[in-house]
Amino acid sequence: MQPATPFVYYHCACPDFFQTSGRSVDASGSRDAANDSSSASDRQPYVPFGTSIATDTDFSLFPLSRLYFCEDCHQIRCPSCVQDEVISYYCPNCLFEVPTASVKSEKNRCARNCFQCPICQNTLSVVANPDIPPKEPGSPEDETKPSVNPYHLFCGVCRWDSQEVGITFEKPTSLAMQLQKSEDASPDIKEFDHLKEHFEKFLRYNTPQSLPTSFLSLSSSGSFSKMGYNTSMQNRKGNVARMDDVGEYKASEHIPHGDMDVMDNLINIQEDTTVSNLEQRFNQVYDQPYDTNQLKPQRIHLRIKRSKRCRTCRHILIKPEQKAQATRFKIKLVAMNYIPNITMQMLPRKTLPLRQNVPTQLILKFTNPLYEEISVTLATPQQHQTKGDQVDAPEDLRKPWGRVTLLSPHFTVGAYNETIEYDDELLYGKPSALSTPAAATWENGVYEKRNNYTSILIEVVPDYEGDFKFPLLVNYSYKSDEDQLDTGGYEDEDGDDDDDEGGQKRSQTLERQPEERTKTYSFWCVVGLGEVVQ
Amino acid sequence: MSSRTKIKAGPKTVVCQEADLRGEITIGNGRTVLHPRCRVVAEAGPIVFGANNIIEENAVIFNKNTAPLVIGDDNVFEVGCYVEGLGIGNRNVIEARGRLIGTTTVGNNCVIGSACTTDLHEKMEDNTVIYGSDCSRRTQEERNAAQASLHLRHLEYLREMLPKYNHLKQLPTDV
Repeated sequence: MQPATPFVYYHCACPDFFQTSGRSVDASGSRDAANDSSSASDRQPYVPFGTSIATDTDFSLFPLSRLYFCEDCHQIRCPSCVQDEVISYYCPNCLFEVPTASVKSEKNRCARNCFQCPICQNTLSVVANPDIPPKEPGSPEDETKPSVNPYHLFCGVCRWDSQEVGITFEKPTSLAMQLQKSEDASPDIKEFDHLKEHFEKFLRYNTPQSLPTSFLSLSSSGSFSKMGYNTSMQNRKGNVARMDDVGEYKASEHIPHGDMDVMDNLINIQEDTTVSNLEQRFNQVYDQPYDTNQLKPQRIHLRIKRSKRCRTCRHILIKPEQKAQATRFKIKLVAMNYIPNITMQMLPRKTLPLRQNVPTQLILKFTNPLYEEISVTLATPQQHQTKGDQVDAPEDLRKPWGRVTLLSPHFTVGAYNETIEYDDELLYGKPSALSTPAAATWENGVYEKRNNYTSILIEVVPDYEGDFKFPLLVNYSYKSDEDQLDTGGYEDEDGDDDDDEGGQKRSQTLERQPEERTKTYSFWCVVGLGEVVQ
Repeated sequence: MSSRTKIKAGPKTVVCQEADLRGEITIGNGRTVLHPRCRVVAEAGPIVFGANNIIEENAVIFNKNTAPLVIGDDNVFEVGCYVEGLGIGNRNVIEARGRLIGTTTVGNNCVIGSACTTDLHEKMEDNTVIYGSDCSRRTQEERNAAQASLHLRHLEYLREMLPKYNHLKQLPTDV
């Protein structure tokens, strides 16, 4: 196993899993913020990791970059609590957007000029052969007169050339159409078409059930379910009965078995370059030839753009632009823009790996993506238990993460604004501005507080050898922008000049709706510090 | 590093000022182009180039052996490649960051793909292509006339463009 690298994983309170077990942190969606904070302080915070944190197997732990944030549920959403829907199909090479209706008929592959190399699966390019003059169209036998056609496919990576397998083209456009002829002639395609024809009557008989096209599904799963394979269907019996109506099918194409020939060839093989490897064979699923000379260029698979929905409230979290060329997102609710980003830093002159039973201080840096200042409260499970809760003390002893001391469990992180990047550069010019605030707040456990981030110190004492990781409960609250809009928009700026008025207003609003003024969220994360050595 | 630097080059050779040439180097009578910042180091033994080679930026050609490293004609050493070996034939391409190491000998019309490396003691047959992240090998078709003319046009273009933007090294032309 590779040595563990340090990480910060965020825990998603997947409602599907954690709500049914009755131990959810807060997955009830739109629960009030005030309730949240009170419940978090009253009850023992739920540790979602039990006695050990198996980050390798816990499916609800993710790096921040993979998480979404539902604005309506106020919850982190991981890839398994979102629902994917297809927005559009496109070819990754020519970026042509394929209409959903024709995706199936084009067999999920680009029907234009895009091919992948049969040898190395890279994109092929069309190359003109200047030695051969372009000839007028009219002779359809591409295969028999390969040298006559002036265009061929060429792979820039492995230098595969379609002339090697006798594929050339009359004109450099719509190559797929030109290849189609030879493709259609192959026995497996013919057989498949016959099969389709055979079952067509039956399929048409059963069409009314139309799945929404946006559903992410195998293109043919609808058809299979009609044939009675889907046991959850209500009128299953009827389907079984109808299945009997389908007449017996007899194969129309007979391909002689070449197994013995293949074996002879393989026995007499001299060098391994003439035998196709698994990947090459799987890219040509119809016949999966052993001989590399029988590998044909395949049309490039289409890709999809997906939108993602919160499974709890059905709101859209991710919605890309439909156009294949556009990389923008219409809706992009990623967790990175909502919850503090936690990164780790070593103190100067300290290095990993950690040592067993040696207290090590290191820095956790909280970066605030929000436009409001947030105040953060941290907690670790065993800290809670040393305070007096001795219910599962023996369990605590078995915990693999050792002792973690948060030198600064409460702190604030400044608001984000766009000009920070420029301020940063100015500050770097003046080292005094860097050093003084850090030194002043050092005692509080805050290593550095600037712009929109705060770095705090933690001290860890690993008890065991092996991977060191510990859970961390992050509770953060901020004054919500939306609520300020309700109660009077200029509260933010009132600070200095009109203290009285502003203070009055604030107290009023506090009286009126104290719980809506501040929003409090909490989430768990797991901090891994890599290997511990003796 | 060898202290004596002795370079012989054909009259049509284009060597940029910033090319780093050390040791005993012979460049054949053809339109060879050496880009700026390429390094040709004949440390222990001489390096002998044929005609019409292209040596791009940051390419390193190194001879650790006392025997001369003989490089044929029409080879392309792309950006950032590293070449040792015992000998290179004609019409080969060492792609960007490709590595030709050890006592490898290269035949004709071979390709060492981007970031690919040869074995330490390999004898590359003619038309061998090393490609992909696994350094797979296959045999390619013989080079046709079109590709040959493409190489010549590439050379022509470089010979025209490089002097416009680079100072050229004046070399004794006594080959």
